[in-house]
Amino acid sequence: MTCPSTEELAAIYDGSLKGQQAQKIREHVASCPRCSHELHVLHQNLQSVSQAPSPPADLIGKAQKHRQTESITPQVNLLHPRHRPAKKY
Amino acid sequence: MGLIRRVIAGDQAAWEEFVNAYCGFLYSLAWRYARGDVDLAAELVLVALEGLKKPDAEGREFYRLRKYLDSLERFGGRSRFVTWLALVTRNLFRDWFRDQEGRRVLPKEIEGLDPVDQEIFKSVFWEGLSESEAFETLVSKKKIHDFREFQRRLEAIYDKLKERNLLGIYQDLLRRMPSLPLDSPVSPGSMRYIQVADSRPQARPDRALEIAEDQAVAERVGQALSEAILALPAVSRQVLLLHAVQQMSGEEVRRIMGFKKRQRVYDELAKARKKIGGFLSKRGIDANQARRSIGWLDGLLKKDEI
Repeated sequence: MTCPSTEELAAIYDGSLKGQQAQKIREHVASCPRCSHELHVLHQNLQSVSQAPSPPADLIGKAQKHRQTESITPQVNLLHPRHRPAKKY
Repeated sequence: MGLIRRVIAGDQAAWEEFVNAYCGFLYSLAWRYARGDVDLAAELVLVALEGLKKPDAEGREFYRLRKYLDSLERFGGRSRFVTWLALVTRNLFRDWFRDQEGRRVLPKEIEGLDPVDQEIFKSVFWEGLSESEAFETLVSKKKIHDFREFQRRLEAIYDKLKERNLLGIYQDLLRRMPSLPLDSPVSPGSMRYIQVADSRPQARPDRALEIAEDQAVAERVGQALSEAILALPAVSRQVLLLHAVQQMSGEEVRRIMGFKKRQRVYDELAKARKKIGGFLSKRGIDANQARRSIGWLDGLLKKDEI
């Protein structure tokens, strides 16, 4: 079996998928390191949600203002360490 | 689901309502990946929202949300929306981080190795898989069959990297990749211990643990590992905890332990790994199984000091 879709994986995690299909996916996940890892990370992420601080006050407004047709990808600034191309070792 | 349907239909007021409802959740996920960088966390929220808006090949926006709604109708698996959102968001973050990293180039030392070694290097250092995950991935690709051979090759890769003192650089890269079983963020001043299973039903990690391991195996492995670590000589144990649990670099461990040479740190780690392997095998536990169990147990079960 190929790896389950994001939707199937989410349903498996929530236990909302039943029957043979669910069984097949569970068996796949148990033998697939990538899918097991995905579920593990999902669990960690959901567990950690309550530990994070509230978003900055202006973030919601900033995100809402963008029209659906606009790109909200931040400008790339090569002087910013995070935006510099990866070093070639 | 009404809100999502309205968002998909292009209702701007619904989009604002959606952002208002889920911005905090997205920020919480982003926070973990941004490692306390407020600006980066905010940037990641925008990345996630942009990813949700992304159109399909026919130019219809919100194709991910459409897929989610379709899945509800198709197989009736009504996953909570936040579960689905957390999965999708993590994928979007991962893609974004990969884009930021740019196209990676193999170090010269690794380029000189055979293709299987290069695959191992990519799995462990680029994809951030644990050793057992990397091994199983390579087994599934029929590139390698024997775990000992895998370990031998991995050791050789570590040696090659050490020659150029690149190990620290790649370990740093690994630390920057979040949510790996053995590389979870550690809060300042805290230690992360190997955990044993909590027998209380409410502490069981829902379906995830059922899929991966049964509790009896997890308890046995956790217990045996705790005992194996306690049985180590004090110096090896301390080095192991500083390096593997507190995620300190070889140089930091050398300084704290007062060793003259950094090589001593690696020697102590190798010694600890060998002793733990021997201890586990005497208990009839396969080292590969133990690694997998620890990956699953981490963060899922109660924190018990060993």
